[in-house]
Amino acid sequence: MGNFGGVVAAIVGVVLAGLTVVTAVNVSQPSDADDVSHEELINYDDN
Amino acid sequence: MTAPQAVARRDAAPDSGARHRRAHRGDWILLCWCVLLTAVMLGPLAAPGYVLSYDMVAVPDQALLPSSVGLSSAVPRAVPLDAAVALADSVLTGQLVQKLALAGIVLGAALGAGLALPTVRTGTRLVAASVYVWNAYVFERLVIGHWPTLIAYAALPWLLILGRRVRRGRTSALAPAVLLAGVSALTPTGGLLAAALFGALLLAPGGRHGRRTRVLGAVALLLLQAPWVVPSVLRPDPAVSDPSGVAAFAAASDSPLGLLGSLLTLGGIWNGGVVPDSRALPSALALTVVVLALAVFGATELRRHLGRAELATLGALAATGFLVAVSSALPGGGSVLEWLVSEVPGGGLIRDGQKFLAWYALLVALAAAAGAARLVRLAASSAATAAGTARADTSSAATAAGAAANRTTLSAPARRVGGPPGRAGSGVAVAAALIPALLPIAALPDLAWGAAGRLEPSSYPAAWSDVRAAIDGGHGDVVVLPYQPFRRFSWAGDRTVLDPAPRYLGVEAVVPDALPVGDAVVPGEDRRAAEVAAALDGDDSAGELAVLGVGWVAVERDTPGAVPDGLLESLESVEINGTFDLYRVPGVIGTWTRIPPAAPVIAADIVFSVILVVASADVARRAFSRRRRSLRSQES
Repeated sequence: MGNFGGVVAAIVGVVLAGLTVVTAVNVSQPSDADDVSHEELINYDDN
Repeated sequence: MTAPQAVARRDAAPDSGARHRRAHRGDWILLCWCVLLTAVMLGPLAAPGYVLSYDMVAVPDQALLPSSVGLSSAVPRAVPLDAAVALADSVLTGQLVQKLALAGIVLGAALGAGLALPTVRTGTRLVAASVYVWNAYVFERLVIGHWPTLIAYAALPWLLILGRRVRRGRTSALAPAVLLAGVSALTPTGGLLAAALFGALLLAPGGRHGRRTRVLGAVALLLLQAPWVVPSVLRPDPAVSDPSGVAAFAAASDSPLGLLGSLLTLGGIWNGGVVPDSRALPSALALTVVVLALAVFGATELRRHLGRAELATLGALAATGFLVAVSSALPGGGSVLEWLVSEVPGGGLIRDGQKFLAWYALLVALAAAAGAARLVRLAASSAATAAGTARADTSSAATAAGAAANRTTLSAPARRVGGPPGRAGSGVAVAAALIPALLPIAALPDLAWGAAGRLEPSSYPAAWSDVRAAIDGGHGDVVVLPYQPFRRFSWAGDRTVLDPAPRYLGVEAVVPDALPVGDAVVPGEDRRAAEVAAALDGDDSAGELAVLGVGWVAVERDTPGAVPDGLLESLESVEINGTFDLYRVPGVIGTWTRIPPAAPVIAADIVFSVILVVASADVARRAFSRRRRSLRSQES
């Protein structure tokens, strides 16, 4: 039971670490969110 | 014996000295963790300058003006916040006030959440702190600049703690709670968030507090709302909003999880421009869902940590806030909201319903922490079982004795997080507590370092101070062109920001309050602002502006937007530098008189101030008495 729990914990840990790395790598990629609109009227919800 | 008492007894160490030292060490670890979270989130703010992002505006020296307390034609949305900032500005610099406020919000929220569960287990506290302060709600409200709402958000866990104490008969907790509710009431939304939680705790049946405490607290909470309620009610034009704002500011899906999933994971703000990039990443959402699952896993545990009234109050408010947030998407919900917004004075407060997720956020944070505690206990139990099985190979009698010993003689690190025995077991327990504390950061990495650069400080061009010096408050109010609420300056990172000039210039300003959202413009409530807009489109703009009480026109040249043809030629040039120009409206300047009556508004502010002063004095007196008793006991 204890070994089984340890194996499950290790798998969960690896999955979480993988998701963390994938998220961090993707977030560090430049996105198009910084494109600036040059409309005359600036919207409240402009990016 | 109540559930919290049972938990406290179970947490108790064999001797009170060891328990005290352990709790003290745990407090320091929690404080360090909260400071670390604050530093990682707001580190860039250490640079000189002002953070300008959407509604978040800070200026070097905001003046205390009649409009700061609601004596103007505008709806008092930032009242008495503007007065409080102006007073703080007179002691500290504007940028210091802003940075202390933001750091105080994040640190206070994290620390309050960490202390809200009556448990000494440090790992559990770290999880509560992380989940409460590192989530999409905080990201989105920070970036959109709703920092006054976040003041109330930070106060919520403290109000839960103080409400618990008051209910246990400790009347000394009433004064700090009233103080926190007062600071939260610097804006209407913050006032509602804080007063609803503490008021419900105060008035809920049961508890050892007397009727006098209930009445005193409830009256104080009501009177603290007076500075924004009185000018709203007494303004000549009704404080109702256009119903089109309901659709414009309705909660929206900000992730692939849809609207419900976005709200459940504390996102869903109406403004797509302030949503973190990570909300679009499946990996980040998977981590966020793990945090939510942890909260669900711990929900049943919360009863062991919180009193029945606390849990019922927080649960009811969380459900209410969630309902308000999602209401526009429910059948008939939009119609009900439109009626409330357009017919009930002050109803416009609920059109951006996602902000009322604050109560739900606290519930999620505490439930996630309880889930982590349950996880640690399971890990401990599993490790103890494994240890017992191993020993059974040699002696079944020894197994029983070993398991019993393991349950009572935990290693030090394991005890701090409620973990299992032995080096390996304690490692598992520490991991089971710390990994959930790190999960929110892994799920939302772009909240780090000033929301990934969105909260970097900027400095005003020198031309701005030249215009402020040239303007004379005795010649009427100022209108800033282009006549639209938002700006995008290259010197402020080309980010959308509410025009800082009305607060910067130190004189009364007429501010356009019609908000362009998407393809529509949500009409404002300020009749004077609308008449100024019409005057700017008229044939005799200068003459009409003078009649409306406008004596100055400032023109920001470095932001998109149009300046009416022919207007500037009819004005007197005062300060022309090509970046921020100032013109004087010729002729006799009129006075705009359609504002709330001064006497009741000022009386409301005096009542508000007196309550805060009395509460502060009580807090200080009790702190001084405690300190004196502590010194006496050390001497004896």
